[in-house]
This record gives sequence, structure tokens and C-alpha cells, in this order.
Amino acid sequence: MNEYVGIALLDLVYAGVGTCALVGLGLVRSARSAVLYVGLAVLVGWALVGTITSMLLIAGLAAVVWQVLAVGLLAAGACLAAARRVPAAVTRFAPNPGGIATWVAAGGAGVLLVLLESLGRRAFYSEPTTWDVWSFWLPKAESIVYFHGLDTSAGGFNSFANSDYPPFAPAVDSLTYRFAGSVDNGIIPLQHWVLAVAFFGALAVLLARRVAPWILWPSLALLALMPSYLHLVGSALADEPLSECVALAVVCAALWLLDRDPRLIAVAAVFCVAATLLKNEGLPFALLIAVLLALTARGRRVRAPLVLAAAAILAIVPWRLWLNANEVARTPAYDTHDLLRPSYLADRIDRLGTSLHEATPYFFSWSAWLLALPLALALGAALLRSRPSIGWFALGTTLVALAGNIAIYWVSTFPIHWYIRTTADRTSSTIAVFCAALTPLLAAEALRARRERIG
Amino acid sequence: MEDVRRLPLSHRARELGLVRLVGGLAVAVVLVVVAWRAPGAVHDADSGARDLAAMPEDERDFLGARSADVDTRIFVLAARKIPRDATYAVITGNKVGVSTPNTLYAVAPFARYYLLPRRQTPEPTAADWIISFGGDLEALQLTYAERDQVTPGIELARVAR
Repeated sequence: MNEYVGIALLDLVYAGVGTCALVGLGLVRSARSAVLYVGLAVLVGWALVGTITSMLLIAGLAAVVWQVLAVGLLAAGACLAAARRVPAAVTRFAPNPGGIATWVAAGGAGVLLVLLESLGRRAFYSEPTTWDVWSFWLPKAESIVYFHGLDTSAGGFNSFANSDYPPFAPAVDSLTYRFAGSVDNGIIPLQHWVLAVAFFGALAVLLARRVAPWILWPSLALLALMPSYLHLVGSALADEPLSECVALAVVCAALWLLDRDPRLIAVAAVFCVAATLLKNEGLPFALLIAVLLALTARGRRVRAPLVLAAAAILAIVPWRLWLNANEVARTPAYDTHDLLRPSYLADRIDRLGTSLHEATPYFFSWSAWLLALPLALALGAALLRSRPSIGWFALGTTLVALAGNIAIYWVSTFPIHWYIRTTADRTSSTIAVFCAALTPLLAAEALRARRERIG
Repeated sequence: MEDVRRLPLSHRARELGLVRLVGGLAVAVVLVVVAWRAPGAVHDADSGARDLAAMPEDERDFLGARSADVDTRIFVLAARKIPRDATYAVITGNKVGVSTPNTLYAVAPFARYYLLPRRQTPEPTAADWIISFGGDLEALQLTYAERDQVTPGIELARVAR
């Protein structure tokens, strides 16, 4: 079977499982809504199948195609069964004012489409070239296929760098190999590009609830134009799907603050779990979103943040047990417990100064992320009085995540200049991408504040 | 002429006006940046795709190793000679000149990426084959059944058992 047909089938499986999940949540109940939500369905399906595959691997199975399909079908069936109890959502999309706004929306969508098409051609011919990708991300995925699961002997899954990273990214890449019919690394960038396209489709359908097209499409085009995001698409780094999962979780959480639709929390939970299983920093991001939601919802609705936090914590427990059972060493880069040791922190106070001075510019870099952070921070600050919940949520997630990154460089045992130089361009990606994804929502809310008053 | 006096704006109204101004400015900035950056970004992505399309496939396979200036012929040789169920070890050293400090660090991980399912072991004494990239094969005190030199200092050796 042609390997392109294979990954097309894999993406159909993702879309199928995701659509069943969205049907279960009441977001999709018609052919029209299934088409509108196809991007979100692919990513929800990918997150669910990736989580299932990770759990099968941790349980000692090889996660071969029939096992993944069987559990995926069970999950899809359970979602469809839930559809009988869950009422259909009434989703209205923000209208475009017409006139020049139509041209602005069309222009933004056109730029996004042309750019994604160019990236698709690049991904088609591309091979993974980034150090982390060929030194451990893809070899881990290859080892899953060749050695039938998480092999712990020499040359197996935990013999690579960062052996304590959760297995989601290698698990889904191993599925790409299996559906493609061979371990061909040339197919991986194309599959990651498909996920990137789905990411924009997912953002569009979620944000369109409250963001008019003339703001939405140019903002999504701006996200796609961020130079470091352009490099990230198709790179096969786990930072690529991590940034997309966190961005979608943040957007769903922000929309929940405004719309109070519990379906959005369920979608956010799916992406928080995927983020948690993608990289070690995924869990702190999931907990950050949950805590900020609890704080900004002002105690009115603590159940939803609790669901997010519990889902992320429960998802990581099996992996932590597997690490302990197999005596896998934790990353030597840092130990987050050191953040609670005042004497340790005081001894290395010079590293705090260095990380503030050297790492912070990566996050605000025009040549990497254009204006993603400044725009989100300015809009978040502007909304503090008129839309306090979303204003504080945007400011809080951005600033705490930024502080968390700086703190990691502070407590790390690695040489700080080298550590920042070799990682900050990637660690800044998650924050920059969720800021860029939030920008259209924040801008629309800022413009709506006045209109609602007049109305 | 009618005496028209402007009513003072309330604090709340001024505040909402400011919020709207920030929102409007943000959207304006987005539009300007998209209009400014889009042509260059599309051109860069297009030329990146063209360059990759023009490159032979076997050359694309080694872009990762070439970024660390590793002589990739050793991997092609190793893939041809080492059986898929065999083990191998990688040794590095100063018997070959390198252009970047990362070159020697890149050899073992790239070998793992390229040569799987052959298992890499950190212990040369436990390996069936040794890939030497500037390393000292004699210092390992192993007997070799076969040695293939790619270039002086870069060798593949089969350990005699």
C-alpha cells in the first residue's frame, strides 16, 4: 500500500474518532457541523488515539494497528452512546459586518491558505533535520515499531536522551510508520503538517463563536507567519504538537470563561491530557490553565478547573509508575523540587539574572514570534476592567508560564548560557503560540466592550 | 446659534473607549504585519520547498548529520554491512579532524537514528561491530575479523567472536 494512502487512512481514523467525540459532546450533530468541525475532530481524535496508544504501550502492549483500532472503536462507541444523553449545542458564529470587512477576512484566509500550501510542499520533500528529532524523538518511535513496544534493553525505548519524557509523541509517530507500512522518516513531516492544518481549522471553528471573520482570519494568518512557528511546522519536534495542544486548551478555557459551555472544558481536558503526555512541561501547563481558571472564575465554577487538573494528573500516573518500575533516571536538567529550597535558589541567584537577561528576549523576539506576546499582554491588560475574567486569565497564563520558564533556567544544573542558547527558541514556542491564538479573542472582546454598552 | 455643550464622558465610558482603542489598534497591527510579512514568508517557504525537491532523496536523509558536519559515508557503509539483528558500538576520538565541536557528539545519536533496528550498545566489548569516528580501535583490545576504512580515522570494524 502506498504510504501516502496509509497516512490518509490514519488521519481518517483520527477524524472518525474525533467526530464521534464531538458528536458525544453535542458539538457535531449534522453533516454541516461535521464539516465545520473537521479540523477540531482530527486533533481531538489524534489526542484521544495518542493517549490510548500511550496507555497501551505503558501497559506492555506493542500498540499495533489492530489494538489501537479496537480501543479507538470502543472509545468512539462510548462517545456515541453519550450522544443520547447530551443535548446538541446551539453554536452561533460571530457575523462579519460586511463591506470592507469581507475583503479583510478573505485576504487573511487567503494568506493562511497560500502559506499552508507552501508549507505542505516543503513538508512533502522534507526530512527531519533538527538535533532533538533525530537524536531521540524519532528513534524512540522507530524503536516502538522495531522492538514491539517500550523495550527496556540496550538500544530500546529508554536508551535515548530524555528517557523520562512521556511516550505520546513517539507513540503517534510510531502509528504513522505503521499506517505508512514502513519506518520512513520522510513521511513524518507531512503528517505533522496535516496536524498543523487541522490546528488552524480547530482554532477557526472555536474562535468563530465570538470572533468575527475580519478579525479571525488575519489573526490566524499572523500566527502562521511567526517565523519560528514556520520552522516548527513539520519539524517533528514534540514542541510542535505541545504548543498546539496548549493553545487549543487555553482557547477552550478562555471561551468557557465567556460562554460557560461545559463542552469546552471537555475539549480542553482532552488537549491538557495530550499535552501532559507529550513532554514533561505539559503537566505544568495543564495545571496552570486549571489554577488560572479557578482563580478567574472567582470560585463560582470550581468543578471545571478540577476536571482539567484531575484529568492531567491521572493521565501521568501510569507513566510515572512505569518509570519507577523500570528504574528510568529522571532528566538531569532540573528538579522542580529545587524551587522549594530557598538556600539552593539563593546560591544560584546569579543564574536568575542571567535567565532574565538572556532567556526573556527569546519570548519577545520579533524575528521569532513577531508580536505574539506584546499583543496578548496589551489586550489582556486592557480587558482587566471590562472583561476581568478573560483579562486576568490571559495575563496570568502568559506571565506565570514565562516566569516558570525563567525559573527552570534558574534551578537547572546545566551550564546556563548553553542551556538557554540550545532550548529557549523551543521552550518559548508554547507561550508564543497560545498568545497568538488568544489574540483574536481578546481583540474581539475589547471591541465588543464598547458595542455592548451602546447596545 | 444654538448653545451646544458636550456632556462630560463618564469614567466608565472613557474606559470602554480606551479598551476599544486598544482592540482596534491590535487588529490594525495584525493587518499591517500580515500584509508586510506574508509575501516574504510565502517566498521563503516556496524556495525551501524547491530546494528540497531539487535535492536527491539520499542527500535529504543526511541533512541532520550534515548540519553537524559529520561524514555520512560511514552510516551508509554500516547500514550495508551490519545485519539488522546485530549490535554495534560507536567510539569517537581525535584521530580525525572535525570542523565543529558538535560533530563528535552527533555521531552516536545519528547512528542510532539511521541504523535502527540494529541495537547500539554503550559497551564496545558487548558489540558485534564498532563504528569508529576518530576513535582508537586498538585501544579497545578486541580482535577484529574485518575492518573497512571510509577515510583515515573513520572505520567500521567487525569484532571476531
